[in-house]
Amino acid sequence: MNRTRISNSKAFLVLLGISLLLTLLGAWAALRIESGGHILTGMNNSVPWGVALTLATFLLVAASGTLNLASLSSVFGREAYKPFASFSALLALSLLAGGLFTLMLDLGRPKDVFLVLNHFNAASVFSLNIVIYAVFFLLVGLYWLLTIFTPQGRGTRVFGFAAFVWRIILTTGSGCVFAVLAGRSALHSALLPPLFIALSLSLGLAVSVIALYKAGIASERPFAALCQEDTARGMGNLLAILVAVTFYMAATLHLVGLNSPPVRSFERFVLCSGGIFPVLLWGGFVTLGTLIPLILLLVPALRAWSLRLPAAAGCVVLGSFALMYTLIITPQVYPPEIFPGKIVEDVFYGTPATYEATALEWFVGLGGLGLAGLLSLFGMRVLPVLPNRFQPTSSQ
Amino acid sequence: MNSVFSRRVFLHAAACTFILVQGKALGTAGKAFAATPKTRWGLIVDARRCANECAACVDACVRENALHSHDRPATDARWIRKVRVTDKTTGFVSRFPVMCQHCASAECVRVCPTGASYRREDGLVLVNRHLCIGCRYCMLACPYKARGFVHEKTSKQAPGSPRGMGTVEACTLCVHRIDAGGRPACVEACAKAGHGAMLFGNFNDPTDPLAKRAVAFAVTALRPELHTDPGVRYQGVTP
Repeated sequence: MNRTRISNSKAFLVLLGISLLLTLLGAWAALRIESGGHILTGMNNSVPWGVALTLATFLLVAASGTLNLASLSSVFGREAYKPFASFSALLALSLLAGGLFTLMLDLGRPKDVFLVLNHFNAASVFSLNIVIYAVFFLLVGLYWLLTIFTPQGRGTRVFGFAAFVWRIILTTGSGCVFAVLAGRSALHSALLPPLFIALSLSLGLAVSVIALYKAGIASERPFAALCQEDTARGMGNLLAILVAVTFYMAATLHLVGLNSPPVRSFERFVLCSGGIFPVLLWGGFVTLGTLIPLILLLVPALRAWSLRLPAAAGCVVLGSFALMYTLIITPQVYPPEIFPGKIVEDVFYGTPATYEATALEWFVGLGGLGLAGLLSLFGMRVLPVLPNRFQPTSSQ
Repeated sequence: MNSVFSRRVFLHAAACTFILVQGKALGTAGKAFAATPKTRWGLIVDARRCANECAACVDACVRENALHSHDRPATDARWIRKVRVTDKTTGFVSRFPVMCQHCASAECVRVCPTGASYRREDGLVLVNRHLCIGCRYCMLACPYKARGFVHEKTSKQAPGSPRGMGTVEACTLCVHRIDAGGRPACVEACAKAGHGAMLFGNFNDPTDPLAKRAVAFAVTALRPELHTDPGVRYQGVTP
């Protein structure tokens, strides 16, 4: 077997402690909000979905994307990535649990969340996504167990393929939550689900790289002991392609918007005049999340830098969050086009809303990240999930 | 079983008493209406008669539904808001109230994961507070930005308008008054102020003044391109 457990090192305990702290902070913040009301958050009647929901969506999209490495081995037959399959599936399960944790804590009545099961509305994308998440848990969970307990990997191809198809459905479902909102012209686009899929692929790979790097630190082993140089280079090249595809999809969304009369003024807002949002889009997504990673990954002179891959992955994660934030928050801040061609003299209907997330809201969002960390570290500690000194292969 | 039956009888009797008392208090004949598909309750707002600086409808809604202000406009509950719009080209100014449009094809109903947002047979779009989990998806889906979230604890609630922290709410068209045979508080206040800019009635009854006006004059829906078929129509407003 070319996989191992994470060791009980000091670094592991520190990472575990941070994850536990974030999870507890998230739960505490949710309890405070539940007793004191959402007035303790920065959300309001114009911006009902804030940073916690953005982080929840971010984690759910990342969960789908972290299956990249598993799909490369089980669906596309890349043997070099086989040792990462189990690690990849564990990350996907942990991130999904984290995302759902935050999604639940962000509700006005978290205790009543199970009403979704008792009073299921099949017409709602929100409800359908609950089913999609449950099936994802089942498929990826079975796939994960097969990668661990069947030495020859029997059944992994079937479940790996099923999980691959389902992850596409999951990300499409997450994108559709926003894309089906006909009343919000800025969101109502068929380009949104494919953009979510592209984002999940690049973000998921970046998260996998960072998690692998952190696992290396926690198990007190160099990155090279977990990931062979050729494989790391392959991951870097793949990340560069996926980052470029995500940028292409996002650019297409905004270019189409600029040429669509109902969305044009919104596009001007998000691209130029919208205060923090253009800064996040150009500075966060385009510069930090696209240009810098592409330079880091593709410029030959930087290949010798050992931290090139994790640094690029970190930039992709931050840039992806900036994109997600602008995608979800900006259409809420921007006033809806109820009266096209008219000047509306009303603060609620006529001017951009204000939104500033409070610390409690951030805690709720980061609680999901903490839970994802906690679950993945626990999984890596009790089961042989982490790749270990795998042998070079010629099939990369 | 007996105790359940007794409780049911008691609740039924209490509800009937409430409706009768409400009807009497509102000065109606106490003629209660059941929600049936024969009725499509709605409003016609005549922007030409909506007076400048008048907020009688907004104030009446606040009083009727006990929507106490906390001096936080972004989160305070407002089920009806008055807007002033100016045509960019012609400079024509119109003023009118905007509230839940009680759509026949309501986006909020479609997206609600638990079915808490529902449409009654008589066209009123309401929120079942017992089923609302506070996901706020309906607020995002509403094309008219007409829904609000109860951000903080409520006190001194009005008997006809139960509210709950952590749930979504919107204009009910004063369903408690309608069921008791009355009119929405905003409509009554507008008439009392002498403007008569709001007409309430049944679109499905050809003899109803509302239906007659809808046939006789061009009344428009906000955002007609979305095909939501709203129960609130406007006169003197171009979409």
